Amino acid sequence: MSLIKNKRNSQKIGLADHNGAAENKTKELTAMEQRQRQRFIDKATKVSGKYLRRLAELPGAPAAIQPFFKVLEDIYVEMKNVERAADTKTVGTYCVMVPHELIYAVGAQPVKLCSGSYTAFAIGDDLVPRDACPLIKAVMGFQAMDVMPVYQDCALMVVPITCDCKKKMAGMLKEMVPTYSLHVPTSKSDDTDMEQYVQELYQLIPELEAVTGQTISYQSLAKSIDEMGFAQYEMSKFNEYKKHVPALIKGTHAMALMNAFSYMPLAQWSQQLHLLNRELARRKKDKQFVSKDKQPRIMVTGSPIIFPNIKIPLLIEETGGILVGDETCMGERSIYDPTVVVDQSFDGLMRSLANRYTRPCTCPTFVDNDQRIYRIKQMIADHQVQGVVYHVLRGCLVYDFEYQTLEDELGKLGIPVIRVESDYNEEDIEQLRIRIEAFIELIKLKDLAERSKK
Amino acid sequence: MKKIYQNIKKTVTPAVILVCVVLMLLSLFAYNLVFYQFSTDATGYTMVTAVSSEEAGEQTDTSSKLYFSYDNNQISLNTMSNQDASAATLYALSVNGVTEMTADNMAVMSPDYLGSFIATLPQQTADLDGDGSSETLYLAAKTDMEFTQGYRPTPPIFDHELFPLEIIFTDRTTLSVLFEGEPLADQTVTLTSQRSGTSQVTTNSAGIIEGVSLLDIRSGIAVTYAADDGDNVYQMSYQVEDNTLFSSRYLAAMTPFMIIVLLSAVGIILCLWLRRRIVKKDPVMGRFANERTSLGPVGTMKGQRKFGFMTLRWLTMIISFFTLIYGGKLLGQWVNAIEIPIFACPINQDQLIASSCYTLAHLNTLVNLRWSEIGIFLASLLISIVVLGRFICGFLCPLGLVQDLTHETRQGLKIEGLPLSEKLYRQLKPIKWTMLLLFLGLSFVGGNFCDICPAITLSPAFAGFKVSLFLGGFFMIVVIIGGFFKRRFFCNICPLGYLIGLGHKFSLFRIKKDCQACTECGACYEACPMGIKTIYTEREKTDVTTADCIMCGECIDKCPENKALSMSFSGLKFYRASRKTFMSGHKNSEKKLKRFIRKREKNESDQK
Ligand code: SF4
Ligand code: SF4
Ligand code: SF4
Ligand code: SF4
Repeated sequence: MSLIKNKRNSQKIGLADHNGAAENKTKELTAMEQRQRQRFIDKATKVSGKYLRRLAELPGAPAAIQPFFKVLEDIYVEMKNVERAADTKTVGTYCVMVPHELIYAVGAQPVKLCSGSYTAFAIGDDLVPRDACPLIKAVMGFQAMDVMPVYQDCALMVVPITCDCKKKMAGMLKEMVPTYSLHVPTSKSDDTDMEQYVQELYQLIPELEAVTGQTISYQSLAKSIDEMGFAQYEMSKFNEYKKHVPALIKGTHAMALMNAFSYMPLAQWSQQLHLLNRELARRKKDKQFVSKDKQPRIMVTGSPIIFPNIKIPLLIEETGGILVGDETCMGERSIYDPTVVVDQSFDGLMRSLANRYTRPCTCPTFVDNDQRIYRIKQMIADHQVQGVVYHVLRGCLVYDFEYQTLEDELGKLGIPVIRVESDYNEEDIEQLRIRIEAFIELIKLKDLAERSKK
Repeated sequence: MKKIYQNIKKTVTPAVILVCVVLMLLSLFAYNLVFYQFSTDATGYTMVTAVSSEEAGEQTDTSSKLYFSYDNNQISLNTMSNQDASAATLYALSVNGVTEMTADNMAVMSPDYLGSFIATLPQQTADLDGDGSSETLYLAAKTDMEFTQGYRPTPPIFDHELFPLEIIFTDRTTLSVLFEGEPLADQTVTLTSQRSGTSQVTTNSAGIIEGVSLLDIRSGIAVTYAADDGDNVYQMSYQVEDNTLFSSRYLAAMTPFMIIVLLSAVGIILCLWLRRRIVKKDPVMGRFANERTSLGPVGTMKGQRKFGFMTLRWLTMIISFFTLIYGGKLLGQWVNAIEIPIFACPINQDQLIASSCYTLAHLNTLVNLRWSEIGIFLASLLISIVVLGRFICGFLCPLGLVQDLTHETRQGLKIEGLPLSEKLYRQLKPIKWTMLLLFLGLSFVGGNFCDICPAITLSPAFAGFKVSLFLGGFFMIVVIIGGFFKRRFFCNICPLGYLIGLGHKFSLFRIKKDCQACTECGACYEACPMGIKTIYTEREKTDVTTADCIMCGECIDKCPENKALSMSFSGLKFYRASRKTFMSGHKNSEKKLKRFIRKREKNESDQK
């Protein structure tokens, strides 16, 4: 806990140039802490660098995906903050329920801070209970080490109160940095649930406005909704390409793209995605595919998969599968559902945001979440999925709860499912490789049997 | 805000009951609650006798020898000569029977007059057919003022002692001929109209001349009947007061509607002001009072689809509005083989297609109707329910259009509405049934729904009919204010729409759903003006049509999932949800981006 105390003493709100801030802090650090910190940085960048390399080495990466890799590299290896105008404040968000539109509307830059760092996880392991999920540990680890500008420069953290871990995390973060806990309704079938979220969002606005000093206006909100809509427009075009059989892009690359969304200004992200779509269109025309006809088409769902913890998608594609869809909150889900504005008034915009961030959300922290099954089934149909990998982070109960129903439902469809549990370290990699390889072999055999029957 | 919301919830149930009771009571005394009354007698009019300038006289076209004409509030009796003018005798139909008119009461008409006048000339002798022997010619003229052409229990008939032949025009639909007090059945008469000349027509067994264009009738007609082997020729000209479009008279007919619009605007502003006061006091919401009343500068959302199915719907609604209301006027013909159930008020008797709402609101008169009329009424009602269903509501109904227009006004002004929640929608059910009960049942207890119907303010006024308004006028204000804040407010309690909706199981227009494709995003529910929640919660059935669905297609328009929702007509899906078209508004941004990228790439290659 000494680290946390340290942080509290040296707390510096507002946006200072990261290097300057670090300098200030170094004065208060002991030599040992200094060394510890340097070791941490070395290790974290090494791991991230390794996974970036593996991403790049995975064959079939389109040229237009490089800018997204570059962003991940900037954040995790170069330890930079989001590329933005110097005086733009950043607001950290977690999960998928914080409307980025509101943050853009007050002129701030949202960053998604759910973390997948193994190194930070190792630090966080000592800060939170052993059974807490690794994501929380990693976040707390970064927060405590005070080295990542994306975390350190945040003027405000907005934590939606979703699962228990996030709830406690919000409490711990509050001790260290300005944090706002956003109450997400626990269920969504009743109209009052959504109405309640509208109220919550109204209450969030003054907090955000305090960060930048800009007030939200109809114009700024409409503009940010439109911009997000445009990103979603490009995204849905990308999704159409993703449905193509044989595949035009590897799923792991697609996940990197979605991870980069967390650290990129919206307009820039949409622009790069547009270029990527252009390249995919060319690939489609030239019949330049990244998968072979018989390669098993796999979809991954379950607990979040966040860079650099991308071992599972990598393993799937390194052992001969092709990852065609992901239903995870760092993947498609975070941006898939568009904001549908049905009423043009200011309140109408707020309602549409509240609606978009609750009703279609397939997060298992909601009491009633049947729709996730339907969503997965629809994705299976759309992407012609042959097998589903169900990812469970150790300690992530809510996802584990939903595994059983999914297995039953997919059993009826004859789609094999495998539940893989993992943690934020590389110790389980070999075991995961064996299981995933076997799963893919199984699908190949099944496919062969089906083909010969025909 | 939450507290207010809670209070609202607590008061809703008693409020609903109160509304029902008040509606019931008011509708019984509806006749005493006058919103706007036009006089239904001849006061304010004057009558003169005029001599036509053309002294060409002895033409074979006898139709213009004696006829009435209108010039605003002046009725003229036109004659061919001074001699005729002084010989003509004028009679008016009044509450006391037939009265002869004198110079005095021609200048200032008595309020007793019921709006029908007749003029006769002494008999003349002339050789009309040129066979050498003379015939005796009896000439008369008749006119009816516009308000006589309502749905009146008794048609305006004079005494046949005055003149044996009489033209009777009722309800702007039936032209019949009486001779000596009896229908002139199965006889050939000469029909002359100012518009299309002379023709020989045969009356049917009830004395009705069929198939005469309304335009001909309005231009002025004359019926000539040669009785007693052609020795005695009777001729009567007939002119009905015309409601010419865009005259000062027409504006007068629009007055009550204008007053309603004005009062509604005042009401809306009052509501906004009140709400602003309440919102300002709220600790959380007070800060947004300006945004929520849209006083700040506003922008526009560009991303969502602009044109598409909804454009078609608007076009259909507008076209339907004009064709229904003015169609009969312009074409001179209306479709009287069917009556569709729609709130396009048929008290506008020039309407292209009659509406069965009148009969439904006067079910007690059903026994007085002929079998064929009952047949037409029932058959067209059933056919409409099956073939069109509530497609009528979404695409054709003028009252629906007015509500959509007020809604669009609010959208344009970016003023916050009043989103209803599931619970409130459920509370509407008793009101719906009350309305239906009033609609069908009032006529049996001495009133009728037309007295409280808001639709009466619309179609007749736009067509230039001066119709007095009772409770319906007040109700229309409520409908407009309600429709401003809550889309299709009246449709949510409309008895006619609900009646059609009750037959939704059989109607051919349907809303279909692919439950797997649906993400339960709730956009359709948010968009649905009728608050149909099952459309988004449904997870089993592929057919999500309900009694409330007005087939407006808003849900499909707003559904971002490919093929999750669709509209079908007898199994044929003609409109599907699609993400691509839903987001088509972003195409412009994409084009802009493409241009930007091209320029940048060009610059880069230039530098190299
Ligand atoms: S007043 Fe209403 S119910 Fe009566 S005929 Fe007109 S539209 Fe129909
Ligand atoms: S519900 Fe009634 S008022 Fe509304 S469109 Fe249908 S018929 Fe017209
Ligand atoms: S369900 Fe759809 S078509 Fe029916 S009323 Fe609602 S929005 Fe209109
Ligand atoms: S709009 Fe479409 S996807 Fe959303 S809930 Fe309705 S049917 Fe489902």
